[in-house]
Amino acid sequence: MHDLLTTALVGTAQAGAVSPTTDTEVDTLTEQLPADDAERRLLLTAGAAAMYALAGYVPEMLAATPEPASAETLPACSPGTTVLLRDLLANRQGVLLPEALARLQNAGLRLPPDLLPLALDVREPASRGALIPVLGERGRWLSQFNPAWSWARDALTTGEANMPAAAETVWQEGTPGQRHELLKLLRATDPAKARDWLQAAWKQEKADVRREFLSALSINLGPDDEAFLETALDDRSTTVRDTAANLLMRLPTSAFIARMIARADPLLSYADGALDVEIPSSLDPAASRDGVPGDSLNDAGHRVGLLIYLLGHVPPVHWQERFSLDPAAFVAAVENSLWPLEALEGLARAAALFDDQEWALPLWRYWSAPRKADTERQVELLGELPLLLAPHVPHAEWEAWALHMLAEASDDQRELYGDIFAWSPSQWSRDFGDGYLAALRAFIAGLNKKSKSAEPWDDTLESAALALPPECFAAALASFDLPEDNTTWQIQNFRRQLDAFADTIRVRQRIYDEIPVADVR
Amino acid sequence: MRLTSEQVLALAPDASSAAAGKKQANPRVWRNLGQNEHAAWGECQGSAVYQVRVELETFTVKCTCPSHKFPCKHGLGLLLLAADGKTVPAAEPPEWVASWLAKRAATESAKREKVAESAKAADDAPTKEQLKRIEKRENLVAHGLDALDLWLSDLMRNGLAGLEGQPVTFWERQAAQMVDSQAQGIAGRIRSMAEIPGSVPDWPAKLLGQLGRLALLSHSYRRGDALDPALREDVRQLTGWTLKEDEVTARGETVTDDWLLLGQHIEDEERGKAQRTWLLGVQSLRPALILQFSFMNQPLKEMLAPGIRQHGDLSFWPGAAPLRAHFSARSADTAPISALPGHESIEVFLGSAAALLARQPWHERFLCSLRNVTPIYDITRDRWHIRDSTGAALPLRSGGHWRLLAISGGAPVDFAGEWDGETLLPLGALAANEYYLLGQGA
Repeated sequence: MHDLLTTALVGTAQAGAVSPTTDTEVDTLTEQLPADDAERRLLLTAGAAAMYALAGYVPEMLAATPEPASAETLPACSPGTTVLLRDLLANRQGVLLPEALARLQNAGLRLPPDLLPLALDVREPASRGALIPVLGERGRWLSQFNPAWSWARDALTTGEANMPAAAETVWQEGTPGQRHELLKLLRATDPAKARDWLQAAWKQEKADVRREFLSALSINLGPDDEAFLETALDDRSTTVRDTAANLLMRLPTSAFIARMIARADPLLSYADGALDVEIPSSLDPAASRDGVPGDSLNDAGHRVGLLIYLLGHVPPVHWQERFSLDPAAFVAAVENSLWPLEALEGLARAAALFDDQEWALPLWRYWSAPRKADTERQVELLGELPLLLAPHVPHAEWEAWALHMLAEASDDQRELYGDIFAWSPSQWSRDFGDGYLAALRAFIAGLNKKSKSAEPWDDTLESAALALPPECFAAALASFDLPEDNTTWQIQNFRRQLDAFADTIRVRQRIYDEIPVADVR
Repeated sequence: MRLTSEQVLALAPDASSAAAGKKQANPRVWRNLGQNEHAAWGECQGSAVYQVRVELETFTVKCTCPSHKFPCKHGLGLLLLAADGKTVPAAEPPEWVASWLAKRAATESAKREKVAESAKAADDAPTKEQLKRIEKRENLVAHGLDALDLWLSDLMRNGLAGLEGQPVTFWERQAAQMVDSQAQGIAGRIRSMAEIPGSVPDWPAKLLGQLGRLALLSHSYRRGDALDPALREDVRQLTGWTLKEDEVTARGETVTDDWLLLGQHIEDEERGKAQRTWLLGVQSLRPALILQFSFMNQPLKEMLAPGIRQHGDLSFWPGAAPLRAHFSARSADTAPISALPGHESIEVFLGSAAALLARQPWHERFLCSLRNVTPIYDITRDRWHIRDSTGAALPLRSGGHWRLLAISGGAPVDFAGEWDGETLLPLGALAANEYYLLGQGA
């Protein structure tokens, strides 16, 4: 065949009057062709040889196949659920995926094999977390064939027994991503060893790698990590220093916290039932190493900012111990001080940062109470702080406030709705859902031909569609009667948003119909 | 109706239609839904109220909406609702459905008459005028082939090495000349050759093979009298003497069977698309290929839902080893594919392909159905194969065959694919009695 191809490549004009052969049975056929037309002879020989090769294809022999997947321990979901999940995985309504997968897990089911490639391609962390329990044996098996799917394998292999045998080699020679995964894995089983590895390699790593690796210490963080974190506070890179500071802040007995307390302590004093708040005028030299912003202390505004910062970085429980005051009494005392708003802002930030629920409640009540804002800054805070504190207060407390806002909010406060509902607890209570829908319908009933705005309700729909509990679905799906004669863009757009809202609810309805479980929460 | 929602969506002309169709599968926008054994229907509230009806034998959709898509989203929505098995109740068709069905039945019987006419015409001696037309065309084709042979010889004289730099017009000019000579089949072969130079490292060998096969075709055409009549039929069809479907029904072999619609592949062609649907007869074990062309995005003539088993008559284009066919009749008796007959080993399959080639050497694609083969992915070399129990393996066409791998879990499955002599294009796989469509859009 080579001979044939060479002749064809250079052309018969160059190759001369050769008679190419194929060294196959084809030659006995082509020998019968007239020799005088070299081109025709070449063509017909090539044609016959091509057909000969096609008909005589010899398959490759492959050695043994890889180990197949283990048998599944969970049953696969129903065909109806498969159709639904395929839609969700293909990113129509992808935000609903975690909810559907949680139901699947609760029902003791897994994904069918057919959906696994789509599932393993998912990128959102929340969905990945929800996928892991429903991937089944097949999913774990499949993930070994594609490096992009290693997340499923890494997550599946927890526990010492599953540490890769070549862990040390991976740590020495792997990509930063693999080494980060490995470090997290090791942190879960042997925190000290993981820290030692990191410490040994520390100086050779680049800044962003150092920051990423350091963040792995958040797994099983403990007092033994403090010394190393302290050295990281001297790092050249700001982001590494910030990461170290954030981790040290999570160690209540750390010298770092003690230093913060020492800086904040002079600012508050309490005597005869009155709390005195002072703004700081100087900082210790080590403060900037701890990430405290200490420039421009000559500027009064900056010093006020520093007060907020320092109070915001001290565990609130410290004040409780120092002054023997319960949080509610303390908040009341601060209200009567010289710098009430600033001090309460700092305390609110601290309650959120240290997830102190006992302190969060009185501060939440203070910041969520209806009040008149005098400055732009105050308007901002009234929007920001209730939302910052919301995850740290009891659910019912948040709902009562939000319902009140829906019913009685002033026009300024309405501006906040979008933000309020953008932070929504995973699912609302039935009462709250009913209250929301009633208020939404009341708003829609008030629209007319001349209405030019659907604010702020248009901003709430997306969150509400995800947070309404199933008991409210029927009420949510009853049609919304917008004024037909209103053709403004805003109201037309609101109509589309309401359609999207109903679409989402319908998909959620399908999730609950297809995957029936008693209670997911 | 027993289509699954996946099979319905496979009928959608494109992804956006499929998505829009899903949106229409909402009972709230429908009124007067109903179905009987031949049709499903309903009125859909869109920008206006549209009357939508589907004939269940052929999945032909008729809708009063102005969409150019076929089937339109309303038709897909109706089929999706019918697929869930509970939303569309059994009913008597209203007048607007009954009259449409009657009209379609009339068209069908007119078609059958035309087939009968064609059959009669084939038996009758041709008229003088017909003979004159045929003679004129024979002369055109003969002249075209003379020019083709000169061109081919020129290529051989000058060598293939210089062809990589030739513009598309080099091939297009020759193809156009073949079109003028009414040798459309040859024109198509030349057009497909234009893509070979430079496409793969061994392109000269590939191109030489194609040129050689083309030369053998022109050679055989001239010597048609020396050929077996069936093979002569093939050679004439391949050259450009096409047959109309009613002529095929009249002259070709018709096989009644339960046909498995194993898979579909769509390729962009000049000014349009070519759709290949592979079928396999459950009783006859006959492979068949339904080819449909759409020019300028015109809808395809027949709706074929891959993944189903459908009872019907396939009429084959006459030839020495008939493969191409069309449905001359089919019933609404459909079901999902639940078993897949196939060759026991790759060796047996290759033997069957060779046997087809021995009878008709210009076949280029073969249906490959195999029992108990295991898909294998070699990560280090990024190569995909299926392997039978003897260890023989065929390479899969490039691309990630992840669904196939997921469905198998590393265990043997029954497999259907299209073999082109070099690689296998997966069409579907059967595991745990369920048939999964692979490849495009699946």
